[in-house]
Amino acid sequence: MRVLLVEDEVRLADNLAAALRDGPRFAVDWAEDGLAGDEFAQNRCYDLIVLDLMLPKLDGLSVLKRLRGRQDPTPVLVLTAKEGAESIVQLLNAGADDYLAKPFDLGELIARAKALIRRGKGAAHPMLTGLALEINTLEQTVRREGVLVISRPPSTAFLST
Amino acid sequence: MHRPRVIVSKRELLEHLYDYNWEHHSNVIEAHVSNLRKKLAAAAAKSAAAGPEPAEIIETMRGRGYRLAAEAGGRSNPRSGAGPMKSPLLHRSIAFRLIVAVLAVELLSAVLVVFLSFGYERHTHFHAFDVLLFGHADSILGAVQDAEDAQDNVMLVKADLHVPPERHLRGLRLERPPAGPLTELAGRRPRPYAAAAAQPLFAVDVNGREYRIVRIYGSRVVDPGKPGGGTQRQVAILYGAPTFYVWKTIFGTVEFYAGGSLLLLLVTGPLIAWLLHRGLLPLRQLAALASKVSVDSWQFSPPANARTTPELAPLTHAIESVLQRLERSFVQQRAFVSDAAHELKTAVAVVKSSLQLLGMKSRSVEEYKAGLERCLADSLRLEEIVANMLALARQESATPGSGPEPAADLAECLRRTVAQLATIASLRGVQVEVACPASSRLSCSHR
Repeated sequence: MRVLLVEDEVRLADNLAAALRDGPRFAVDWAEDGLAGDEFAQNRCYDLIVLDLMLPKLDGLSVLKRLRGRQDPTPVLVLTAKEGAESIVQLLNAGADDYLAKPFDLGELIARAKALIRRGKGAAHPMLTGLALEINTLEQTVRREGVLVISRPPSTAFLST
Repeated sequence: MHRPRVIVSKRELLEHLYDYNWEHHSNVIEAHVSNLRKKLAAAAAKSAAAGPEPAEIIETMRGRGYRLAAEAGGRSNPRSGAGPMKSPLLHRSIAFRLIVAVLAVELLSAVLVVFLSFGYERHTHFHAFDVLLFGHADSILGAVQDAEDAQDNVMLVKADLHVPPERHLRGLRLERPPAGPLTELAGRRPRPYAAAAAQPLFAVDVNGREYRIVRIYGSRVVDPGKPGGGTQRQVAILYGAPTFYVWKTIFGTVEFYAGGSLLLLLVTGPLIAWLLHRGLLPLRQLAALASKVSVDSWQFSPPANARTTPELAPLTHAIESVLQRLERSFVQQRAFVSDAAHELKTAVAVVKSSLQLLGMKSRSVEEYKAGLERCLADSLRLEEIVANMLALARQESATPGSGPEPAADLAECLRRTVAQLATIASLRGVQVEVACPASSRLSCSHR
């Protein structure tokens, strides 16, 4: 699974990337500002985008609107310091799939990320078949002639397109 | 007591005492009110002054807040000691006070009109009455004719009299004047001021009824055709009439004025009250709108007449200006708090995630050490953010000009800049010199 992390706070981004890599073994790309995050999202396919709201150059809400404006269905998990109902409603209406209020629990972040990817049904990761092999990039499994050969390999980042 | 009988909500008290973000479910206000009531009760027990029960000074308005009871009977504030008695009108509305003032002035005007009309009518009617008396006395003098006797006396020819009613003639006598001044009519009790013979007018009481008497002098020459010009007879006419009818007319007129004034008062009083009530409508509307302004609602749309009325326009403008400034301040404060919360939450999220990351899997001692060092660095950064925010808050809350203004030494700054550029300058063969007074300080104003 490939996750795009858009977060301007370097230390937090380091921790989040490490947690996503160490826990569910996701491949993580990190963008430091909104413009870079938007560019990453345009040029690559991701299973999930973890998006901070207050970003330099382009704020998270604008990134979200641009994403949905391109009809990009990638699940987006927003990290926000705002907890008011109004801002949450605004976020969800703008196209966010879920949100986490800072300071959040890393375990909860990982669980929500997994859930969002499950609901996304691996749209960004098609089933690869050939040579009698069937590689499910969503479930991270490899089958040969229907028999499970590999399950949850150490890293599947190389399989991602 | 600044706001007697005004209900103050618990939230307003909390915001005034602490902060608008104070936990509203706290019972701190109830506790303070309870303590205040106990202290007031103790103070009242020591004081001998009679007054309302101490527990009633702070009234609880269920579901709305608290209210200070109004001072009964204009009692002075216990804090200020025995102060002057306050008028009960001071606690009334402006409309009520204006109406009372206008009605009082109207009533006073009516009384003055009655008194003035009495004086004027009395003067006018008695002047006319005196003219009448003199006229009748002249008529009587004209009716004094030669008696056609040997002593050359004169007599009153009643046929020549042209004075009406008999009652006017009741006190009439024709007497021969003695050598001295004329004597008064027998049996009359002249008043002291009228006793002097030189007085042409005086009043007397006749059977309990007041008469006004006029006295005129004249002379008649009997047989002027005789040698020596005839005999000259001195005649003094005293003519009086009761003043009852004059007084009756005067009081009738005064009664008319008094009745008219009262009627006018009755008609104009309600009319003035209505007009004042209506005239003060913009002020009441303005006050009602202003009372609705709160921390939650800054909506203030004064009516058009409040803007156009010369007396209210400055007040309306001032309220709008103050509210706009307050709203702007609140927005800035909220933005500051929001930004501060974001910064703090992010920093806390960094610390928390660092610690959680350490616990996600078993690590070596070195990894733990490195992780703890990162956590320490994150904590220091958090501390720095808090210090910066506190400094910023202090700077924003500081009144401009209240503290010493920061200053910079321009000469020192220039010397440092030249020193930094000295290497490049020497490479390019440029010589840079500083020509600046030793004490060139630049002050930074808050403006």
